[in-house]
Parts: sequence; C-alpha cells; structure tokens
Amino acid sequence: MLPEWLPWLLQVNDSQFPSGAYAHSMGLEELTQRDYIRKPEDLEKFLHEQIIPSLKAFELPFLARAHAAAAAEDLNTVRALDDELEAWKLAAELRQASRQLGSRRLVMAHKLENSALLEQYAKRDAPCHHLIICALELRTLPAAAAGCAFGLQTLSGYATASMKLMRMGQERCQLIVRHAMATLAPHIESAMRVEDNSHIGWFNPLLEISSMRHARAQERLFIS
Amino acid sequence: MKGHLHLACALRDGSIPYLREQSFCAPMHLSKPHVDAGALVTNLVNPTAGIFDNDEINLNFTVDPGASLVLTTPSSSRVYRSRKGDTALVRQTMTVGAGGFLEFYPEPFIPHAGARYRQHNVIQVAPGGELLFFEWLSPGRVARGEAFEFEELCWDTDVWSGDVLIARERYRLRPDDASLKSLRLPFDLAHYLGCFVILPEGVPFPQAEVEALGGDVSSVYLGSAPLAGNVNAWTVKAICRDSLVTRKLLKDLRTVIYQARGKAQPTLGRY
Repeated sequence: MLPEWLPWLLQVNDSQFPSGAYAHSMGLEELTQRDYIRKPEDLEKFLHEQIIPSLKAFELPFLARAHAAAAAEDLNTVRALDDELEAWKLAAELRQASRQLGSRRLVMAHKLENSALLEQYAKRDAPCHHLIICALELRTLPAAAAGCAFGLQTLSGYATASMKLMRMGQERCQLIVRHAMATLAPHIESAMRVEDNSHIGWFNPLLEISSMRHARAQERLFIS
Repeated sequence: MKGHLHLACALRDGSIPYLREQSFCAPMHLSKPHVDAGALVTNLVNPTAGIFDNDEINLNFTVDPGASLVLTTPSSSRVYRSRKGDTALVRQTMTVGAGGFLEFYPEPFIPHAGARYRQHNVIQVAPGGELLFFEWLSPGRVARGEAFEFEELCWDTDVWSGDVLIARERYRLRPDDASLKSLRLPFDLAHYLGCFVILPEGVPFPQAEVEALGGDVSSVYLGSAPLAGNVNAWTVKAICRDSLVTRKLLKDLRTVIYQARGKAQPTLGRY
C-alpha cells in the first residue's frame, strides 16, 4: 500500500520546489575557482570523501534529534537545536544560506500544509536553518525517510550547482547523484540512530574557508 | 598521570595584572609570569616529554574583569603513541570577565604515530570581554617522514559569549577514514590553524588585513568570518603548506589583530 506521506515527500523534494536552492553552491563555487574541483570526477570524489561522511557524522544525526522533537511537537527543543546549529555553522555565508533556504521552505510548507505548528514556529523569530525546517516539514514521515530526503537535497544541490561551474551535462550529473545516494542510503538509518550526541560533528576546514572566501569574492555566480 | 593547572588573573592597584590564584600538579607547571604591554604573560609548561595515553589533564584559566592574561607554551605539545589503546584527555576551560582579555597562543600540537587524544575546550567570555584564541594542529613529525599517522584525535570546542553559544566544533580525525581529506586536499602535509577572536564593540575586525595574509594561495588557504550572535566575534581558519608558513601566519595574524585593538603586543620572549 502506498504510504500516505509519499506524495507529500515527492512534492517537497522536487527540484521545482521553490526553496531557492538553485541560487546556492554552498562553497563549491570557490572550490572550483581555486581548481580544487575541476571536473566531474573531482565532484564525485568531493561528494564521497567530504559530503557523504559529513552527512553520516553530523547532519543526519542532528536531523534525527530535530525530527524527534518536531514529531513530538516540542517546539522549544526544535528552537534550541536551531540555535545550536547557528553556532555550528562557523562560515557566515553558509550560515546565512542555510537560514535563507530554511525560511523560504518554511513559508512554502506553511502555505501548503496550513499547519498551526509551522505557523507557531514562524512566529518564534528563530534562525530557521534548512535542516531544522526539513525536520518540521517532514515530521510525520519515518525518520529514515526524512534523512533520505535531506541527503538527496544536499547531494543533488551540489551536483546541480556544479553544472554551472564545470563542463558537465544532466546525464552525468544524475549518474553522480545516483552513485552518491547508493553509497549514502545504506547508512541513513544507522546515522539517524546515533544516541551519543556528544560525538557528532565533522571536520571540513576546506569547505568552511572556501565559503568564507566566497563571501568576499569580487565576482560570483551563486549567493553562497 | 592525572594533572591540573588552575590560574586566575586579577588586577592589582587597578592596572597591574597578577595571578591571584594558582594551582598545578604534574605534569603541568608554569613559568614565572611577567607583565608586558599591560598583560600578564605566562608560559604553560609540561616538563615531561609530552602527553601519554591515559594522561588526564584539567586546565582552568580565569581572567577577572579588567585583567589581561597571555598564555603561551615554550615548546610544542606532543602526544605520544598509545601503548595500551587508551586515550589521553585534556580539558581546557577559559573564563573571561567583562573588560578582561585572554590570549591563548600555543606552539604546535604534534600527534605522534599511534597517538590517541581527546581535547575539550570551553571558552566563556562575558559581554565586554576580549579573546584571542589560537590552535595549531600539525600533521606529526614530518621531518621523520611521519605525517598523519596518529590513531585518533577528537576535538571539541565551545565558545560562549555571555549565555549565547557562538561557536561549536566537534571533530574526530582518523587517518583511516575520510576525516582528513579536506585538510589534505590543498597541501598533502597540511598544518591547520584555527583562531577565535572576540573584540570590543566598536573595534572593527581587520578582515581585509587578515585576508591579505592569505594572498599567496600556493602556501596558505585562509578565510575569516563573523560568528553567530550579535557580538563582535570572528573566526579565522587557515590550511598551510608547512610549519614555516604556519608560524609566520600565526605571528602576522597576531600582529594584525593587536593593531586593530590599538594595543601593543606583549612579548612572548622567543622571537
């Protein structure tokens, strides 16, 4: 039987969903300008060596915490996690990008769902980080499904942005996303079951620095 | 070995910083502090060879309102091979009162092959307090051909401004997984330099000058950004080609930030 949440998930994860993600490269633009990532093979390596490990070690366990709080409609905990995420994001441009994406997603999700919970959260003057709003938006889904959706958004966001930054076509882009998701998917449930939150986190100074430099770049295609 | 070093710096006669409280236990010791440029300069000394597995060291530093404390180390901090699979643990707690200033300027951290180490940093700065916190992670004993051969390094850092968490970092570095990939992409034997700065309101962070220090991307990849919260707090991060580049960057970064503060640099006694 078709899960009742599936159509909703497909809609909010569709590339046409107006979250504004198309305008962000999340640090990738600077990395390509510095030739750290030049070709599709480099992008694939970047996703597998830097982004997927980060999803497994940080974003997905964090999403699990936020998703559990959102499912319980515990907005105080959701807000505390939103504030904590603000401190995790050391690069100001990545922090701002996450807030922009989350805020847009919250507005759209509220319009579609007309939820009192989302309306209450919108009134809290919270940072509205993308991960937190995804947790709220997907709170009625199984946690692993929410994690899968968030993982796909992250990976396809980088892959889609890279098509404007290097010579790469749609077909190659989709192959890269498929391969990355095939690598990530078997780990999603375990990543979202992490019980000891004191050990979540990931080290990526390169991406943080690239974002910091991008914020001050003279020329740029993407907002972040 | 279970050791500790607790220091509290206060002001005497309204202008002279001094240690109103000190307590230490092996393997930690401290030099005779001296006042320079209005700050109390104190060397933190580990007179043993370094840190061994199962060592547990607690460091607590308090700067009272109005006082200035500069903490540094006379030599690199080495963590040796874990012989029994145990992890060495260092906890650092730094508290800065309103109008106080704390600089933490260590020599490089050098993890030897097989080292297992965990460090917790909690930095609490009251509104109106100032901070200049550096950390320098080296790949290991590069001259011996030993780079990134440690077993595991875990680093936890929280920076608070008043009751607002403005920066949080948690990472676990292992040579056998992907955790070092981003660090080693620009330079295979990369040194990592991290810095947190909190300046008084109204004192502009010298971002252009800091970024100019990273002008040569063939040796330094550097960025800076304001931290979260409505405070004048910044982070600087750099990936450097080697130790000489890192040392020069650290020194230059310190100079630029002191210039922005409009204060003379206390002499560390080794340059």
